[in-house]
Amino acid sequence: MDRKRLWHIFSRGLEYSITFFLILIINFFIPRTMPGGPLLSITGSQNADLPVVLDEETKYELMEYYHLNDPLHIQFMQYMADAAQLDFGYSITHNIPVLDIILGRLPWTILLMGSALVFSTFFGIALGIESGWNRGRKLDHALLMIMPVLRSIPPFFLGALMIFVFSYRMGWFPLSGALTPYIDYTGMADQVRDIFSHLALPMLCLAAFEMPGTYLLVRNVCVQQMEKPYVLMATARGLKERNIKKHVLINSTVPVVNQIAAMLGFLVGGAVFIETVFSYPGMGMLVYNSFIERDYPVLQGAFIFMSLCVLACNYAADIACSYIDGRAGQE
Amino acid sequence: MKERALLQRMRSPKGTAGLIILSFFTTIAFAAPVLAPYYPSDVSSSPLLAPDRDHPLGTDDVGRDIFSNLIYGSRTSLTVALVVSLGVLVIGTLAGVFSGYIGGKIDRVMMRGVDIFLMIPDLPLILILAAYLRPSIWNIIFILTVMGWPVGARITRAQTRTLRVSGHVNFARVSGASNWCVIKRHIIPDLYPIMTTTIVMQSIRAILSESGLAFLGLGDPSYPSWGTMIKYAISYPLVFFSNAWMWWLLPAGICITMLVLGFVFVGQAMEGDK
Repeated sequence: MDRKRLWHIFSRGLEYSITFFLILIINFFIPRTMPGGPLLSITGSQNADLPVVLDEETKYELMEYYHLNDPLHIQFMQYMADAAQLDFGYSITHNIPVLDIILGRLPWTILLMGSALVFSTFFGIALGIESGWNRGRKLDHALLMIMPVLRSIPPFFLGALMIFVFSYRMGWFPLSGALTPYIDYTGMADQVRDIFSHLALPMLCLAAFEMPGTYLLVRNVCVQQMEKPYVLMATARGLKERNIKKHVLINSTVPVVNQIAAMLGFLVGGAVFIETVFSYPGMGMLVYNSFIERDYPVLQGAFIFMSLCVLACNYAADIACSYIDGRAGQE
Repeated sequence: MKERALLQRMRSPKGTAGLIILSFFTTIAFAAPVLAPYYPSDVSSSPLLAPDRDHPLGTDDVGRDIFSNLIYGSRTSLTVALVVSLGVLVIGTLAGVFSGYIGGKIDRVMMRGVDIFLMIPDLPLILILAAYLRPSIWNIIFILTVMGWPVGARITRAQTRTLRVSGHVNFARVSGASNWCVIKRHIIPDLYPIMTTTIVMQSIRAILSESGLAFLGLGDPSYPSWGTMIKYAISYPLVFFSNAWMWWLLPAGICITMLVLGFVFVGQAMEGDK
């Protein structure tokens, strides 16, 4: 039993490593195979109003400087060696190491995505159970109408509406950013309050984007669980409704762990839109800005880092699942 | 018999509502030249007009008629949804049926590949690709199809596996039917429900992604898009201080939401929700 689990954890780990290796390869080949060639970021598009013209000698020197004249496999070895040391080069616009930029942004994204995930999972499960338990009643119908609408609103539109209503009109929350600039905090509590007042809207927005998925899953599983004999048995034994609900709740939450892991890549996408709308200084905003500035090293470094985070979380969820549900990985 | 069951389900309130929404937008897309008073890229009007008789929803900051842009935007959204969902359907079904029917080692290798594909966070990759490629509608369609087909392949493959060992398929094989014949006569028809679900799900994804990419500035500038309209609306500094948000920001967002909701309702009705 335990050896089987270890084997499962190991083989999954191997799979994730292969996936990550593949992502590194994709990342290596994208700039080298795209039309325009790797010097495009320096020369700019030839269709631009003022194309930068380089003579052959300068071009050769530049290629030599970036080791682009080496054979492909040597370039690849060099690239992998750099990647292993988390060296993604220098940002073109900011002229500081890509890693420093990313590490400065990462905590904000983790805060935003983590809090949104906790919030949406908690309410998704709570609402899903209530809805499934009261199947066919008013609450269920109302939720079944609201959730699809919530799912259909594009996150950037919802974000714009929230900024308009709660920041411009009501003035409850700040307009953008993660901290009030140039502020002197009077104490720890003050700082925490500032962070949370900036976090509230983007967090709600991201949670609203993720919640319908969790809700629908929990509701469906809950409805299935209600048909199971153990619920009938518990009712027949005269257990209180609260206690029966607890059993159903525990059995309905197991698939959620898997689902959250599967949703992570999707959630990263949502975070890009929401951080852009709220100017929240996380990874999503970084990706967007470096896309606008055509800062290729940052863009690619961020892609690698985000993929790494998603894969690591997926792996963690896999391991967690194999402990929660003894049957996982034993087919 | 199956078609009748599907029709029955579409008669439910959700199915009807979804179909009405979808046919509404399809009609608008087809009749766009008749309905729109201006050409979408026509900048001859003065900018930032409030709604009046000539401009039902006013004009934007460069003098384009918002109402006309809104109407032509439905064409972009529906085209992307149609092409991407059909592309994913064809590639995904072919790959899924092939992998599931052959089974064995090839199947295992293919599904590992699909799993790997599914784990790559798509939006950052799309942004990288788009930063290198020219923003054009065909590039967007291409990227969305490439990132989408593994989902279709996974579902199709699972169903094919189940069908492969079911009685009627075994019987057909024992009776000497060729592989191609079995796939065509007995497997593909049983995949119709999954195919329709794939089309609906991929359309939702395509519409949201297209408007999202357009919002980020990755859209094709030569096609009017609802996402682009939202982008320009909120980057105009005074949009929230005047009433402009009412006719500039809101209609575009509502259009995206309604169109997606139409697909969501149809999808739920197909799965048997009332």
